[in-house]
Amino acid sequence: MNKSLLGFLATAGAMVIAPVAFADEAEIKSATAQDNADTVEISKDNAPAMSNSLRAVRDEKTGKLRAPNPAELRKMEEADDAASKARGAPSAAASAPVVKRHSDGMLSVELGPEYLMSLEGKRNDDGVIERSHDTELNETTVADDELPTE
Amino acid sequence: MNNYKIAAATIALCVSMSAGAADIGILNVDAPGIGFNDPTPATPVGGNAGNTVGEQRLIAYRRALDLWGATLKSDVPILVQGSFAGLNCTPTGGTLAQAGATFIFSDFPGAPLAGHWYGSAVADAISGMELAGAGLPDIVANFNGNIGQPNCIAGPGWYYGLDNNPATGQTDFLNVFMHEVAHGLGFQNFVNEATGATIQDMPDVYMANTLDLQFGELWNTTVFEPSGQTSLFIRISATNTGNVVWAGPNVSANAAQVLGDFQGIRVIGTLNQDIVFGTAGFGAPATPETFGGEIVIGDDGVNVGGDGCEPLVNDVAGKVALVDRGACAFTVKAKNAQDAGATAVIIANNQATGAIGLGGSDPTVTIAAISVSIEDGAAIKAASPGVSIEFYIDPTRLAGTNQNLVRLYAPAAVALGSSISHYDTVATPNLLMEPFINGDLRASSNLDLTPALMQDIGWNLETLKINSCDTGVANALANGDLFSVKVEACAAGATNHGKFVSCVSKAANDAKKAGLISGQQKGAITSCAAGN
Repeated sequence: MNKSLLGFLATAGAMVIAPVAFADEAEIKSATAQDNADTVEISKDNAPAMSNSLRAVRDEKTGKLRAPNPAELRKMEEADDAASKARGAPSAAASAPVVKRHSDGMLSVELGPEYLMSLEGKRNDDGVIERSHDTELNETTVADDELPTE
Repeated sequence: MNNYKIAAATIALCVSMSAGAADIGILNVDAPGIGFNDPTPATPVGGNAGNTVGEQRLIAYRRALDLWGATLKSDVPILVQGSFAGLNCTPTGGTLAQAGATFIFSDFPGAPLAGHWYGSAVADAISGMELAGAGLPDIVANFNGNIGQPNCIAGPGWYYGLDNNPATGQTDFLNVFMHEVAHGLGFQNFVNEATGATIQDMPDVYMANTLDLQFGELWNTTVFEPSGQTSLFIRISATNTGNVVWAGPNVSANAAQVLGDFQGIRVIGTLNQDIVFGTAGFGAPATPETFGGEIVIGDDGVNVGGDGCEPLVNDVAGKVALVDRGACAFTVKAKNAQDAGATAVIIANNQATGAIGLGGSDPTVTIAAISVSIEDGAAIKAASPGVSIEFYIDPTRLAGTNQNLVRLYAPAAVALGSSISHYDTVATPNLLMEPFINGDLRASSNLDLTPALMQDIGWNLETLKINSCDTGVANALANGDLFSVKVEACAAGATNHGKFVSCVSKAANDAKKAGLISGQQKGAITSCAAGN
């Protein structure tokens, strides 16, 4: 039953849209240090939102990866943006997390609000509040897809 | 810091549990007159003696912190920044709470795993240092103080009692708090499951315990570099329903003390196999009593073996109707099957996305509904007639596990903030850290498998202390019971010291009989209760 990751990646036919590579080596900027820590800033190119990563799609006819056409790229970016919003993540234009490198080798990051776990609630017709971390309760594009109703 | 010191000192006078436990303090950031400082008069409820809304919030918040403080060990203070001000809300829905770690650290002094992120609280506890700096919060836990008002999920609001006994329509604050702060304490990863990206291309300790059984890969063992393969693996694994499990040894060891018997569905007759199924948010829950019988392919007069969007015209009375997904709401299909006399309905996916969860709401649907994959649906159709289906209970396996490992929540579509950072909803009984906070939780006295997961990521469990006597026994038992709560109940109900000792001794004996503590540990608890 176990597949190797590489084996899986070679046969991931079901995966229609997939990022296959990051952008060029991340731009690392020096920044003002606090507490004598060396500070580096992750550029938006390698920030978790990954909005600028290189993209590819698996061609449904040939089964091979190819560059997305503009419509496919737009759809992927919209999906990523919706996913980020669902978690409360900032858009690509927002500041990326700053990694501090301390003199003893420790790294630290002050997390933004996108890493908070958000508990949503809605009151059902029976008066009971349904509570869930599922973003289906959010009014976002992604949320509508989380638990399909048809 | 002043707020934290004042709040901690005030509550310490009225909550005995905090003595000797990890110091988890509140950093109250609410402005005067709102949130924790709301002066609106309130009637004491459920063991919460506060006389204003703000007091009750603070007491409940403090109680919850004390429960966690009595569960996890830390030699340095853990600071939780809290607020009860408003969060996003509408009259029908909104944000109840937000919580999480404020900082993450890697390669700090004493870090068990190099090159892995740890949340601030657990990193502090492991290192014995306030890594973020004294006075800076390790966790943020904000709650929506407007719940129940006309413009914010109008109706009954929070229940601030300490006994998990809310009235209908109220939301139990203590359960929600214990769940939310658990995320901040470490029940949380720092990967974006939708993209597979991590901060600095580095995994975290939660990922180090996240295992995909199908691929045989831990989430931290793939190559973390900008190659794209890691992110693709995580994106795929995040939706690999049923196959993503928690690999940590403590959760696995305690699972049998918490989880019930495995519940499954299988087909028999001309087709014999287990079926992976999805549950529905409407209708009766599938159980051996509500779900089972001969399968009949529903015919709505439009297309045999079709979608069931029209009233069924064939005889499904007393049978389980099978219809395809598509063209109309799941609730419509279920209602059509019910109206035709079916005892239950199976909805076969029409896409290759597995056995999905069935959303929707229709209180008139009373039969049970499940979903199956497109492949299983096709197999049932091919073998029909002659296929029956049954819901079964297997006492040799545990509910919510795969290969004896506890499943993590991995729905077919990534739900950021929900996927993976929770136990799976198939667990029975319901667990505190499922994404849906269920009304049957009792976090005031039992944290089920949550303390075990905390151990797996590096926390040490706090020991039970009675009158400053350290029993040396972990306060959180293997079944999640907090023994300190039993001791408190004994103290509240005993009229003299002898009865108190007798009560604690009985509780210890019960725990020993249940296999939760050893005879030696029972003796240590009884001895401390007696004051020896």
